[in-house]
Amino acid sequence: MSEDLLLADQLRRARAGDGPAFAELLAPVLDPAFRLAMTMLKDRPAAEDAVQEAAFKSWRKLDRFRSGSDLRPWFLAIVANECRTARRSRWWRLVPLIDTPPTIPAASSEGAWADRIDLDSALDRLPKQHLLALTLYYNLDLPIEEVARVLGCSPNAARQRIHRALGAIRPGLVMEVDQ
Amino acid sequence: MSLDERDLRRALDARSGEPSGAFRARLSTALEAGRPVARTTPTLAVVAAVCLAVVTVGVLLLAGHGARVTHGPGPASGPRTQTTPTPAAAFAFGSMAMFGEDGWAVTYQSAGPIADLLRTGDGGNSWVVVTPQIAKGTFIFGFALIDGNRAWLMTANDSLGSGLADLWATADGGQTWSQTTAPAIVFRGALITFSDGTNGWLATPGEPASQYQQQGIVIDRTTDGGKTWQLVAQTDFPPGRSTAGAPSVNCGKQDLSFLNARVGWLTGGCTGGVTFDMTTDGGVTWRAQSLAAPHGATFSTDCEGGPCSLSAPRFVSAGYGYMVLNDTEPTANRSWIYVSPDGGRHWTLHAVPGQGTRVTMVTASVGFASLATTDSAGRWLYRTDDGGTSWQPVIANVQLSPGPLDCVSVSRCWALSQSQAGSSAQLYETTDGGRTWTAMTVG
Repeated sequence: MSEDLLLADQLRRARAGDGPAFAELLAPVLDPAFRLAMTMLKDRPAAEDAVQEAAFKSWRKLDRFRSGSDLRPWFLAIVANECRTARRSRWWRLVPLIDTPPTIPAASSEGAWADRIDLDSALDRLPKQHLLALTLYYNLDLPIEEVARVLGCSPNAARQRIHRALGAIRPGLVMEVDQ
Repeated sequence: MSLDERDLRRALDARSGEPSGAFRARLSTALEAGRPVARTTPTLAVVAAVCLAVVTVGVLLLAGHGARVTHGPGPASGPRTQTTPTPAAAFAFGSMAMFGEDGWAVTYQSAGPIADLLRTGDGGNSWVVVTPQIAKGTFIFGFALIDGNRAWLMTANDSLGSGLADLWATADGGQTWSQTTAPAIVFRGALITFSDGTNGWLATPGEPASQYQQQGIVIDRTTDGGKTWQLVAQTDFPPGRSTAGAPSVNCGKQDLSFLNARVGWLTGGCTGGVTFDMTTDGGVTWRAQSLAAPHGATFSTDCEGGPCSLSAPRFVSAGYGYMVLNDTEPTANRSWIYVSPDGGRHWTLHAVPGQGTRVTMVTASVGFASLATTDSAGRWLYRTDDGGTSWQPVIANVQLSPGPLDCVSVSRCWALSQSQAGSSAQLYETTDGGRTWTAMTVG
């Protein structure tokens, strides 16, 4: 059976409620989905919840998925949405009442550590749509067309969003984004 | 200070991570089941945390109630990161809570108090002592484990009833701790619980009347994650008087849990009865919620010959919750589970095999019961697939004397098997729902 036929068969069975078929369908996109959730949420249990919720939501919405389309951007968009929901509703965002000082790894130089903390803090402060765009492009290494599909915008708009995100991290920063 | 693409990729990568094997397995099991399962976090995490905290404090209170606890080791030497050897014989590897591959355990001093808090990041294969540096003359008397990274400890000096409690919080798996003193909380033993990261309750029971037939309690609440605490309810706890709508004074206070920031329960048990008070306003006012007694009798009959104990509800979803009643009345002497399908509004009673049984529900359907002592057929583990209505024995490859049992899925659980002397425990793991248990070499 060719790969296309195999995927079509998995899709048909998954739509009919076949759990193992849906699990097989999802397997290739599970890693990028989890990495996306981790980057967005910075919390493993929360990321697991988001991906699991996204898995079941996507299963329920599978009838809306077009045969022959790429599953990855479709599923990542659902994961991203779950992460946004989690960030709005979850208690953990409000947790750090007692300011816990960061642990400084002994091996790190003070400057490098400060840079990393600074950059991580900057990522924390980014609007979530900007963080999502940077994650898709620089962490998951998706082509810009696929980034656009996850963001639900045109490739040009996706590029602009990435540029704006970079500028928000460090004003004046310019990096090449594939045309 | 320059930022280039490599730095950005590195920073994003540092936030990222791969899905754990446990999560893959859980998701796969859930998908194969063809329906959503109750999420194990954060609800279960909080549930486990609450359970452990309360159990720990409960054990301490029961074991050394009112006594001056002899403080064992000197102060912990700050955040320590070395891997511990197998706990020494003088320490009991007493409680544990797992959150996927991450987990926590505590060791107890032989005299009762908690000796150390340990953490694992690899499913229990190795453990690191993460006890914060506490002052000499103080001891750890309670903990709440929120998830794999967040935990709370309570410490106090060894002059019970006179010292203030300190609260310690970590958000990074115990690598770093922050300390705060809960104002006006004088330690007489306490129950600590959080429904989430910001809403928490610290309940301080008073001196009990004879046989724990009555006991006052002060309940403080935080809505900012522990920065500030406010007294919200008090039951005849000198020098204060009871506040309006305070919990019942009857029975010793045993357990406290909250489903969310508003809805919670306080339980108590004594010879001749149990108390089960519910709040729907975050702990300010409480009222007794009715429960059916076993055998269609009354609690005064059922608990007549020995004290009953009632755990506070644990929820594995927003709807399904459960709690365990242990009845030590000589002729009954068995365990029961109350289950609620509707967020704690209504409770149905079912019998659970054994006596003093520990129950761990994983989903609204599936749960495990580990017996305090094996039954006549030598079985120690039972499983329910119908939410606690019926229980079937699990034929396990080893016979354990299980202490705490914790599951992160319907197939993967850990159990601490107590030694005969009760001073140490062997950690076991199952990945097939309890049929095969493997002793873990902790090191």
